[in-house]
Formats: sequence, structure tokens, C-alpha cells
Amino acid sequence: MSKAEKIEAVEIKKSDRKWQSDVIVDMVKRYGFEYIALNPGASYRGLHDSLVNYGENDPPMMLCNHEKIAVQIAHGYARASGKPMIAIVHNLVGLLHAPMGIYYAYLDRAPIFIMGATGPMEEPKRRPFIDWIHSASVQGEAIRHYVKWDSQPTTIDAVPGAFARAYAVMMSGKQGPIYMCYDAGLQEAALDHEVAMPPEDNVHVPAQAMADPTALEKAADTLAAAKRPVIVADFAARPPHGWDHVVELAETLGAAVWDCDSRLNFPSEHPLNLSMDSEGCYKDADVVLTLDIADFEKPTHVRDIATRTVVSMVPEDATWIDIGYTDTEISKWAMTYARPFYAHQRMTADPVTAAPALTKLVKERIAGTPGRAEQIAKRTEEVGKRHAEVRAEWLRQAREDRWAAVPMTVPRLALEVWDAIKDEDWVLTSGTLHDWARRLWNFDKPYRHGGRELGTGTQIGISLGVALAHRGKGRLVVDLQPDGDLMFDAGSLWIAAKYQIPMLIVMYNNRAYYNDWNHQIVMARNRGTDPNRAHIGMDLCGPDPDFATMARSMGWYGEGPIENADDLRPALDRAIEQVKQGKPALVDTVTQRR
Amino acid sequence: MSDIKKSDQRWQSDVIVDLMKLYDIPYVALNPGASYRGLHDSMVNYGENDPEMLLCNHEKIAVQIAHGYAKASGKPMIAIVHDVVGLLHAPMGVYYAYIDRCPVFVIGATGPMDEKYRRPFIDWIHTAFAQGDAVRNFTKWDYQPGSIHGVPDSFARAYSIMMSEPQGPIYMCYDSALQETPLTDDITIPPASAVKVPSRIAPEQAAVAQAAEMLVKADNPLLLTEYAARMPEGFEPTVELAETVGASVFDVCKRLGFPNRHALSMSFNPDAFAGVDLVMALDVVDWTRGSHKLNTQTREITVVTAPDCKWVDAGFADIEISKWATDYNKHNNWDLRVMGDTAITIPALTKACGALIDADPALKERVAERRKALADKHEQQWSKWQKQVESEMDQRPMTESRLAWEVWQAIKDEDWVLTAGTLKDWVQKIWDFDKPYRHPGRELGTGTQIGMSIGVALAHKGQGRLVVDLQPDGDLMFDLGALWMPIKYDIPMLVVMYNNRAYYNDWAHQIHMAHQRGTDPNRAYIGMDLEAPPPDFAHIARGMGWYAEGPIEDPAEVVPAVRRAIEQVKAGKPALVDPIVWRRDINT
Repeated sequence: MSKAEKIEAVEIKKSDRKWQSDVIVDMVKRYGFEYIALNPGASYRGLHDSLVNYGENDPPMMLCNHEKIAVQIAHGYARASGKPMIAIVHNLVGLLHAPMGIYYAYLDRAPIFIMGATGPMEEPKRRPFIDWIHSASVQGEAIRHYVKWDSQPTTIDAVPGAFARAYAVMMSGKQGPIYMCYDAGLQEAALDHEVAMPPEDNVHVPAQAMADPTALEKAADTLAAAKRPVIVADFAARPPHGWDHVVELAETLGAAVWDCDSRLNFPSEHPLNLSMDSEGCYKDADVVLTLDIADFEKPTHVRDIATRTVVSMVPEDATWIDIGYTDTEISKWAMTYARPFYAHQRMTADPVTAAPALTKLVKERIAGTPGRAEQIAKRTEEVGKRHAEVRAEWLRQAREDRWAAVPMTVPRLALEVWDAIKDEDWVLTSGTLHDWARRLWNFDKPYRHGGRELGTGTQIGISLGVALAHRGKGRLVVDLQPDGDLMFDAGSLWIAAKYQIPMLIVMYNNRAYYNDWNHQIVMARNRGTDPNRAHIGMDLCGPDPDFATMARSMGWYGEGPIENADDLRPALDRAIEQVKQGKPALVDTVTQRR
Repeated sequence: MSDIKKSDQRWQSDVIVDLMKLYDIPYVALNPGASYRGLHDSMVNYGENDPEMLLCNHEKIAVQIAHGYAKASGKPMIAIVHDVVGLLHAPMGVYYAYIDRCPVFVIGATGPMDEKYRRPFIDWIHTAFAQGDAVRNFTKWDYQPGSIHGVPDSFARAYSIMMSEPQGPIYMCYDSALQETPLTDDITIPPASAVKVPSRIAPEQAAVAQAAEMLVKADNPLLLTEYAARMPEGFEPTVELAETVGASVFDVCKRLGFPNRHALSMSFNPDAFAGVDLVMALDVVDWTRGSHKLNTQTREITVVTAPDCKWVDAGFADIEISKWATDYNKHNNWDLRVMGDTAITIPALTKACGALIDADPALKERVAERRKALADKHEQQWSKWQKQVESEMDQRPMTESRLAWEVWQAIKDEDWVLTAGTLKDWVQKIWDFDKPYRHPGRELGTGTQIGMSIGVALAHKGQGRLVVDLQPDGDLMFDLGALWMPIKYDIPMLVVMYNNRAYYNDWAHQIHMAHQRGTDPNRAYIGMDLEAPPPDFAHIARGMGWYAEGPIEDPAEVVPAVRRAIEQVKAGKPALVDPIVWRRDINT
């Protein structure tokens, strides 16, 4: 699309004067945004015209069928590329479609430049009724609890400064969405004077926070002396930084690594990777180094779903060291900060800058301590042995546990997809089939995975964004797509066809909101009611949505439903062929319910 | 149902179910979530799934089904949304229910407030201080009981607030630990005899008398109605007032306020306000409708009433206006405000006006003359519209007027109900809205119609009526998954698409912008069209079990297709027909 638009650009008819909304377009170009996802609305018709004509539709617009999806495409794009997109949402009634998308982007630290519009704030310019029900004082309040910053410039002269500040805030520290609201009257007014733009060479984003050097020395002392260190990483390795700084630190220490998978922090088949093996990972651990984690409890504890109790897997006398954004900019509303974390050392810093410095200090200490290198080599080997055993056991489980079941088991689905894609340059968008893809696939490059799934109603949007980020790179982007999630946002399938975003969707279809069904089974057991009634208000049967038909009706290649895994491979191969030709394809596979 | 296995003890969430039953809630629409798994189990087993749960594929849809149901029946449903992340899917639905004054009892839940019981991470990201803050700006009230003892009182208070006029949604948030704790205390629920909703606000008598004086003195009075006719009442009393005074009536169509074929109806008549010297607003927020003409390009407004026109307000004035959204509309400098419920004010006005007119033979004659003149004006306008329909018959793709006319041919002998959208008002210019239940009100914004329409269809289920949704394509694309519900829960309805393959309202705005700025109107489609590929709605509907036909380009094929679809609907199956219509401005 962008190519076609650029060819067309020479003949675009320009207005014979400038309009205030043109200034926003100047800023959009200055900051190098690559795409704009939007659902249209009259409150930003001024800006829309400026983007299309003054700005020549560069960056190109992508029409989304829902404001939440516009936000989530930007979310997935940021996850996969590290770069922010713009998402534009219509005034109040567009914005109020978006809160779920914005909340998850905030929680997941994805930078998104959300633009909105309002008004006009000048009352005589308001159209009767409609402009009133579409204005609020102030609109940003609707989402202020889960954006990093919001603003609504009063005059055109304030637009560049607010834009620059919003960009810096969004990209600094714990990244996250910002909301910039533009008065419709401001956009539509003729521009009658020069508006000062930021100088060409001004800095867009401040340098990242580095750890206090004294604190870092102390941490290096502790780590170099550790007998069995563990690294827990969550947002430590993220695009565009890759994972080398985490890998190097782990290898230097011979530390077992637990990847929380908010981003892909560590190669899945690296011998030091003991993710999802809490018994092996934390056995005899004496130092736990956490790298930019949102929550210390989930990766280090096991829990009992029925009684809501948790048990730590980390020995009680272990020393905890935390490097990350700690409690900077924590939410004042949602408790996204999770349970308080009593570490022995906390350093407010970005692991991208702090981890290499720490590695250097640790290396010095190891070199200066006779016998330490041998110790580390030994434990590296031990961890590697455990890693190999655990992976072999997972593969055995997947192959032996009800292999021929119809509908197919989830591990079998993971293996069948793996066999079909392993020789491709693949990317997994989000959900991992309850970790089975993580257990069975070889995540050997940092871009293989956009990060774990978030809640229901997030995956298709984020996946489209991930696919957009990888478009044109010859990669096969795969979305293991839950059925309940897709039913929230079925219309978004259209976007992939409209903007030629090739991707392969393999449904994870258990014909239910099964996570919740499972909770009702737990409740039934607690209370002594009948687990057979747990499906009420939960199942997606009778009728069974036909996802292949839905996909085809929106321009996709679609196959299914497929219940027998023996029929799956040829369907996957046909679908992959279509994707390689540039067409999105969906294979609807029906799975067992856990 | 008697063989449902019961728990051998009671749980605190059972109390919430007792209250649902006490308050006779008809249905519970929900999207599931672990934060209310305790309540869910109580509803299914302790409550024996009565009221019945309706699983929705989106929290916003759950709220909108309750919205449509309330519009059509006057009765509130419950909509349950999961904690923070369920609630944050719902704001658009809650906001529209709020501005459309519909009672919806929204129930939510939150991660255990007792930190000890929070599961790692997930219960923390699903808890907020306080969760109701996310929707407080557009609900009438919200509360989160601190213990089981606070549950009955807050439920009763919430119900009372929700049902008191002006009505609107409330949000009640239940701690998941509160739900999951065994019930050991003795909890008293309100007695069945306790008042559930306070009586209506009556107008001040002197103010009614003054309004009546002004009405009968006016040469050319007009009744502007918006929320005065609320199911199940208000339609006939408005007719009676209009006939008594010989006033013209302009219906804002938020509810069906007045029969469109009544001789006094001036709704949509471009000259409705010409010469009007008194506007009597009957429960109106959108008071500028009809009298204030807008230039959409320049945003300039012209007022078309007589220059000395008097403005009288009968309604809820500024009671409980929003502190956030400016949905209270532009301020008006009224000549008189009669604050009170029009359910009482209108009959009181009719009586007062009737007495004044009866006592004054000259006045009586003037009223009779005016009624006759207005009847002529109504007929003239009606026949003008019919001629316009005829003149547009050959347009391809078909116009909204042609589609409205074709659908009317197919349904006019049925006991029909129209759910929401009206094909750019063409339906009101062609169809005969002769009964109060024919239409619960016009469309609201994009992303609201399919959900509300399913709610309207649910309210009319089992009454032998044909429920018709004239469904815009852009709107349906927001919420495609909602089509699954009418099949799952056997809710018969007919969807006839209003498919212009675009978010065309916005496209038209870009054409205005292009004209103003001198840019190219041919580029207005960018970021607006739903072409390449055009979604195949019949195909999509069939994918969820519907009967479906289309796309249909030839208008002559509409009636046969709609008739076949009606046969299916009568047999109990939802059906969709997908005609393609033109794009205003571009096709002309």
C-alpha cells in the first residue's frame, strides 16, 4: 500500500493554504512514525484530511474495524519491533471502545502514541447535540489511570511541545502508551502564523537509566561468589535490543535462567534455560537476580488454584537482587505492581545498559578468584543436563499422552505445527498453547516470539501488529489463536486481507471459554456441586462458530474444522503455501479441553 | 431441575442470587471471568440458572443486550463483566446506556481485597483502587460492598437509583473472596413488601398551570418529544395532549414518541419549526433537534423558529447531570422549566389545557382550524416524500429510500418491530409506526446497533412479532461475534444489512473537509472504505448458523429474499439479507 500511495503522491491536490492540523502531520513525519492504525471519526476530520493530502498518506493509514484493535495492532507492532505506531481513536465514543487495549499496552509496557480528538472546546463551534455528547472535561480522564501521560493542547503553538514531551515520556523507562487529545476546532482552523517546531537535532528520547555504580559493584560481589545463581528475566531483552546481554550474563555466571516471556529473553534450547521447570531451576538457589520483572511471585512460586495459596520454590535463605524499573511510575489505580518484593538489593536501571556492566564486573571477580571458573563450568554442565532431561520428558509427554485423541491434544497440535514450520524463518505472535510451544519449539532467535499471551480479547489484535512488523521480511508469522479470543474481535480478520499482511492462524479451538469453565469445575469441587454443569455460560457449542468460513468471507484462505490431528499436516502445508504467496490463511483445529 | 446437585452448605455469593430472584431479574447477560466464579456457581447451582444466563462474546455486547432489552420492555437485566479487564471492554456500552437513560444492572468483581488470597500477579493486575472509578463518570452509582452484610443494602439502593428517573446503569462490584467464603452469618435480605423504587417526581401545580396558559395562547405551538414515551407508557398521553391543544409534534425518536402517520406529526418535516412561537419540550435533552440547522462544513447554525419563540421545558431539568461528559447538551435559556416526570406532567397539562379550551369557544375554534391546517401540512410532506422515493427508484446502487420501501413491502402485514437504525430517517418517511412497541428508538453511535438489536429481539421473543434490524455494515464489523448469540439462545430476528461498504458517515465528513480546504474529494475514501475485500456478511452469518442471502445489488431481489428470510425467522431461525446501497454525495 505505501508503495502505491507514494506513486500516486505526485498528483495529490493540495489545499492552497495551511491548516492547523497540518502541524500535527509535520510532527508525525519528524518523529518517523511508520504506520497509523485508526477507526474513523468526525472529531478528527481535520487531521484526517491533513494526513491524507498534506501528508500524502505517509505514514500510511490502516483502517481497523474497532478502536481497541487499532491500539492492539500498535501494541503488537511495538512488541515485535520496539518501535511505536500511532493509533487514532474518535472522541469520547471512540476512546471508550479502547480501554481494554490501552490497559494491556500499559501493563505490557508497549509504547503507543494514541491520538484522540474532542470538542470543539469553543462552544459556538459545537454542532447541536452530537458534539456535546462527544465532549468531556477532560476526555483524558477516561484512561488516565493506565497511560503514562495525557494532554490536550489549548492552542496550536502548544502542539509541537506536547507531542515531543509525549514521545519522550512514552519511550523512556518502563515504556507505555500516551494519549494526546486534539480539539476539533483547533484542527480545522486555518493556520495563520508560523508555529515553532523543535530543532532538527533535538533529542527525542533521554538516555536509559543506569545502575548506581557502587550498588552494581556490590551485586557483582554477591553474584560472583554465588554457588547456584538464577536469573529471572521478564522485560530484560526486548526489541530492538536482542538478548545477547542476558545470554552473556547467564553464561558468565553459569546461572539457570527463568524466562517470564513478556518478551523473549533467552533461547529456549540454551542449556541454561530452565524456564517452566521450577523444581530444577530453583533447586539449591542461593542468589536470585531478577531483570526487569513485573512480578516476582508467579515465576518463583507454585500455587493451588482451589485454595488460593502459594509456596515459594526458592530456598528461604537465598539473596535476591533486582535490576529494573522497580517502583518508578507505578499505577495509582490498578494494582499492576503485584505483591511487594523484599529484595536485598534493588537497582533502578534498564537491564539493557546495566547487564553488560554487571557482566564485566562479574568477569573481573571470577578471573581474580582461583577455582571459580571451574565451579561455574561444573554447574553450567549440571544445569545443562537438567535442561536436556526436562526437554526430553516434555517431548515424550507430547508424543505418548493420548497421541491419537480426537479432538487432538494441545501438545500434539503444538508438535504438528512445529513440524510444519521448523524449516521456515518463523515467528510466533503471542499465545503458546499453554506453554507447549515453548516446551517443544526451538526459539533460537530473539525475534521468534512477540511475547506471551495476555488476557482474552487481546491476541488477534496483537498478532496482526506482530505480523505487520515482520511483513516483507520473508518470515512466516504464526498465530496460535484461541477461539474465545477471536470471537471478541472477528471483524479484525478483514484488516489482514485489506492491507495484505500475510500470516498463518492455527486455531486453538476448544469451543469454549475454557479457562473459565475450568474455574467452575474447581468451584464445583470446592462446594460439592455438579462439575457437569460447569459448562453453563461457558461453552461455545450449539452452534459451533465456523472460523474457516468466517475467514473466507473476509478474503482469507481457510480450512477446517479439523479434529483429527492426522489430517492436519496437509492442511497446514496448503495454508503455508498461501501465506507465502501473500495471502492470510486460517486453519481451524479443534482441541481437547484440559 | 430438582435433581441439581446442591452444595451441603451455603456460600456468600448465594445471597446475591437471592437478591436477583427477589428483584425478579429476567436474564443475566455475561462474558465469563474467574473473578466471579463464586457467583457463577451460585447462579448455576444454588439458583438453578434462573434467571437464565446468556453467554455473550464480548462484555460490551452483554451490556448492550441489556440496553436494548430495557429500551424495548422498560425492564432491567443484569450484565456481568469480569474484573478490570472485563470492565474495560465495556465502557462504550455503559456510556451509551447512560446517555440513552437505560437501566442496566452491571455486576463486576475484583481480585480478593484481602491481599493474602491474591493469586500471584493475575489477581493483582485484575484489582484496582477502586474499580468503579473506570466507569463512575457514566454510571448513576457504583459500590463495592466491604462485607456480605453490605450486599443486600447496596443491591437495593443500586436498584432504586437505577430505576428512578432519569434512569441509567449502575455498577456493583463484588470482591471474589467475599463470593467464595462460606456463609456463616445470618444475612437479612429486604422483605418482599419493601419499596423497590420511589414514586415519580410530580411537577409543581402552578408551573403546570402557567405552561398550560402559554400553550393555549400560542399561535403555533409545537411539542418536542424525546424521552416522554418510555416503554410501556407515554405514547398515548402525548397523542392526547397534541390533539387537545392542536399542536404539531416533532419526535426526536430516542423512543417512539408519537405515531409518524398521525396528522399532527411533523417529525423530519424540514418546515416543522417554521413560524413556531412556542416549543414545549417533553423530557428532552436534544432540544436543538429540528429547529437548529447546521452547515456541516462550517459548523454554522441557523435557528428556524419564530424570533420571539417561547421555550418551555417539562422534564428532569439538570437532575444528576454528568460531571464529566457534556452530554447535557448546549444550555438553553428557557422561559419556563416544569421539573417533573412527564408521565405525570403530560396528563396534567392535557387536563389543564382542555379546561381552558373548553371554557373559550374562540380558542376551541382556533384549535380545530390549526389541527386541520397541520393535517394538510402533514399530508403534503408525506406525499412529497413518497414522490421522492419514486424518483430515486432507478438509482443504482439502490438508495436508502428504495431499501426502506422494499423492506416495508415485505413486512407491512406482519406484527413488526424495528430495533434501532432507520436508514437515514427514510423508514419514518415510508413505514407506519402505529403502535408504541414498533420502535424503541433510533440508532445511537457506531458500534452499538447489533448488541442493542439482539436485546430488543430478546424482549419481544415469544410474542409472535417480527423483529427487524436494519444493520449498518461498519457497525456490524465491530461486533461480528455477537451473531453467534441469537442462534445459541434461539432469539429469532431478521437482519437486513444497510451495507454501503464503508464507514460512510466519516467518509462524507472528509468530502466536506476536502471542499473546505480545496483538496481532492476522491481521496476521501482513504482509511474509510470497507472494500477490497468487501466482507461477505451472508457468508459470515452462515458461519455462525444463520440463514442468509446476499450480497444483493438488484433492488427487485430484495422483497423475495426478505420474504424467504421471514419464513425462516417465523420458523425460529435468525436470518440475514445483505443488500448493497449507494453512498450519498458520491453517487449523486
